[in-house]
Amino acid sequence: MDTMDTFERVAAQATTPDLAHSADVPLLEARNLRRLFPIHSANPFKPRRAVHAVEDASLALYPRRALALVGESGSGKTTVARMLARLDEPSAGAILFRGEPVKLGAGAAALRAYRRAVQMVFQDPFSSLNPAHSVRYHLSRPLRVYGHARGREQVTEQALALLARVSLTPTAQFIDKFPHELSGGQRQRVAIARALAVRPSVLLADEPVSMLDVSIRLDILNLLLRLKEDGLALLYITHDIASARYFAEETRVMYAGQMVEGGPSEAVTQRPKHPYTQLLLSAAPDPEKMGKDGGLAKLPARGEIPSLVTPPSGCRFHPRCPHVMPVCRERFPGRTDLGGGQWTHCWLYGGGDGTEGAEHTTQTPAPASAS
Amino acid sequence: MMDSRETTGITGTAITGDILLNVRHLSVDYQADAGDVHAVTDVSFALRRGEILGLAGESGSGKSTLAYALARLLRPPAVVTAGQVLYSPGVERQAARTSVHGGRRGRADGLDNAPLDILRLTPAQLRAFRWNDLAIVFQSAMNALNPVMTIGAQIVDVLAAHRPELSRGQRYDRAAELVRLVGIAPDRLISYPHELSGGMRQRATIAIALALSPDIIIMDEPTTALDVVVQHEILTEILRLRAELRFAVIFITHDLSLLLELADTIAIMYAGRIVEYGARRELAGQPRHPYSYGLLHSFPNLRGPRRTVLGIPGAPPDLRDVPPGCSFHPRCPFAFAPCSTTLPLLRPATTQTSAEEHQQVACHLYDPAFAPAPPAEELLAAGYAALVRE
Ligand SMILES: Nc1ncnc2c1ncn2[C@@H]1O[C@H](COP(=O)(O)OP(=O)(O)OP(=O)(O)O)[C@@H](O)[C@H]1O
Ligand SMILES: Nc1ncnc2c1ncn2[C@@H]1O[C@H](COP(=O)(O)OP(=O)(O)OP(=O)(O)O)[C@@H](O)[C@H]1O
Ligand code: SF4
Ligand SMILES: [Mg+2]
Ligand SMILES: [Mg+2]
Repeated sequence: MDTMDTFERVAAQATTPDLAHSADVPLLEARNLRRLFPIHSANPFKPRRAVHAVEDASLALYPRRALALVGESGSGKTTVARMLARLDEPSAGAILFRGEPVKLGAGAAALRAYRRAVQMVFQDPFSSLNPAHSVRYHLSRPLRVYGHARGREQVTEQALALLARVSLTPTAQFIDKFPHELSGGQRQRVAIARALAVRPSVLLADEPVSMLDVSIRLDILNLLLRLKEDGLALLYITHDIASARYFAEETRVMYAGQMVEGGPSEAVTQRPKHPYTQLLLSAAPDPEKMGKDGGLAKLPARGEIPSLVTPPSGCRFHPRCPHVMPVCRERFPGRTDLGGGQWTHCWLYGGGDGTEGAEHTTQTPAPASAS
Repeated sequence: MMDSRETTGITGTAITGDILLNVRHLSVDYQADAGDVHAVTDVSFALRRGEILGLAGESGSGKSTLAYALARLLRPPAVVTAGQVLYSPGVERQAARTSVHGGRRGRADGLDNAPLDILRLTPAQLRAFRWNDLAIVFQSAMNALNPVMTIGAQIVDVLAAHRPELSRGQRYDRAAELVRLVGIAPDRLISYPHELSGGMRQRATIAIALALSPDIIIMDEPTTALDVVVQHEILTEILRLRAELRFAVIFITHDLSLLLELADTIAIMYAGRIVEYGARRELAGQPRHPYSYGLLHSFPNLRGPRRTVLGIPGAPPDLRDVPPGCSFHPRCPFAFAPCSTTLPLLRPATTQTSAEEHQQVACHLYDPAFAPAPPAEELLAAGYAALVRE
């Protein structure tokens, strides 16, 4: 089947990415984004506190490439995507579209032009579709607004084609349904179809396939792969690290608001360096084991849950890290390049400049888990 | 006490606790002018105390509808067209509910120890039943939470309504304990749902479901927004609490690899029916139904060399007009003559049924009347491989 071939071909490409010197300019770029959410407090005399949701996040999205963002629940992935979609304003940092700084608070026309190029698929398909409108409305509106279809007939034809692309067949049955008449995975696919109706050049997909069974999930990822080959730039937020491995050239790992590791997906998933990435990979369910022995593998104890209101000092992973050193509690480590495009923020690898680390080692420490 | 074995469909499980929930021939339709959607059709299974039953299946195959039916949460145009859902509370709970809630109407019969038919509970009985005896974690965490209340207030509210004996301070302590259990720092109790990440909302709803230590917890895709570490931690907690409190869980997920680690028994749904059921070990070792086989071989793998991912070609059927015979036959690589005419019912997958052997499958390949011998696993593999090459 040709879709499988696509999957395999791109998987093969992803093994040997050319991340370091791509001739392409980034389509969309985030530079040193920071986001604090102030906390409401009943007591006006208390010092104002805030959730430190994202610290110093940078990334670049290129045409024909997918970047996967994985990491801890609550680590700031959605917040990064929302800032890129201009649904939320960074507290600090810059967003560049085609190399130009995006002006926040620009007028409605500018915003519409931006939305034509940059679309987001939201994480929760239960709250992102309007309960008062049918699937037809959800798809027709962007088709009309962005001038891709005119007249009822043409709009319907294209809406049906979009439903077929996201495997919602028979399409004629789905087009007049309302969101409450759809299952979770069906809503998720309507949300994807709606974003694709705009024909964006950048797609920010926040857990777009999390409610789909493996078979339909494969269909949708293959669809996104084909769009990517046609020039789409993709941000793929996911908890399914195996799909990041197959689907995205590059993978970034976030923990508690900080980007802790990044690089070619194959390197990050097969040779993780940061202790959090190692923990994450060791916890992934392993279908190869097929539950013959059953039961959950043992993971190290979590300890106290880090607060993002008063985040741990230095490396935010330090309270859980099996390799923690005194310096980890003091300062956040800089970025260390590990070769082959892979990098990490961790004092084990020198903390950025190779001099500050308590011990500079080039060897990968043993994974944090016993499994 | 009713013997589950008299029911057709699924009976024995590896778990030997008492039967808590006995679902018999349950069918649910969504009625519509364009044709009724048969979302759940003739589903039977038994859930035992302390059991974790994993329910997997294609998107749109009726998993959430089944969950809603068990919790009596269906609203028109959904109608239960057939079946019973019998709940047998333990003796202690039985005593507690009689003293607190008085009435015993709604029983399947007048007997003291007879199970309650959930589908016939009175509104008062239903209020006591939900959350206390059965809790549900909804697939949509945002819709399940009240947008104008902090999550702390919501947990405290549930406790105040059902555990009036607790003091204010005790309720807050319990709320903090519950969110910590699901990996949320207690300083976030003052957050509103929209101030939480997708996964944090999901975890808040899990905390609410655990609040009253119910007998049965239905979890509908509870971990779709969780990273695997947090997911693992929460599941470990649930397993620990299960051992301590002996509740049963119906765990709905599209993620079979998760069920292979977590569940005691697994049921696979396709087009509104259970097409395979068995202990985790059996299903993991040898999925029998061609659909289950495809499902188990559609994973991209995280470890080891990359490989071709099979997938299941074709589309799920229109539930208004389910194909005759086996509803999977238009997509099945092994379909033969009886598949398009005769409906396959669940039957033991093998002839030698031992005490631990109770894998059941609804497929004519396993019916001696149609097939002389059940297919070997290599044959299933070859069938799918051929499809993918086409
Ligand atoms: N409007 C808001 N007000 C206050 N805090 C917020 C707000 N939005 C997000 N946060 C907080 O910012 C942090 C990051 O949230 P975000 O939704 O980006 O996480 P995420 O990585 O997408 O997590 P998940 O995988 O669970 O969806 C969380 O602690 C969240 O509670
Ligand atoms: N109100 C309704 N009217 C008509 N059809 C409906 C209605 N609600 C659900 N359906 C249909 O019933 C079928 C079963 O839906 P259900 O939500 O139970 O699926 P599911 O197995 O939970 O799927 P998912 O894994 O995608 O959440 C779906 O095909 C859906 O389109
Ligand atoms: S910087 Fe220190 S605490 Fe953080 S992951 Fe590396 S070793 Fe662990
Ligand atoms: Mg998110
Ligand atoms: Mg569902």
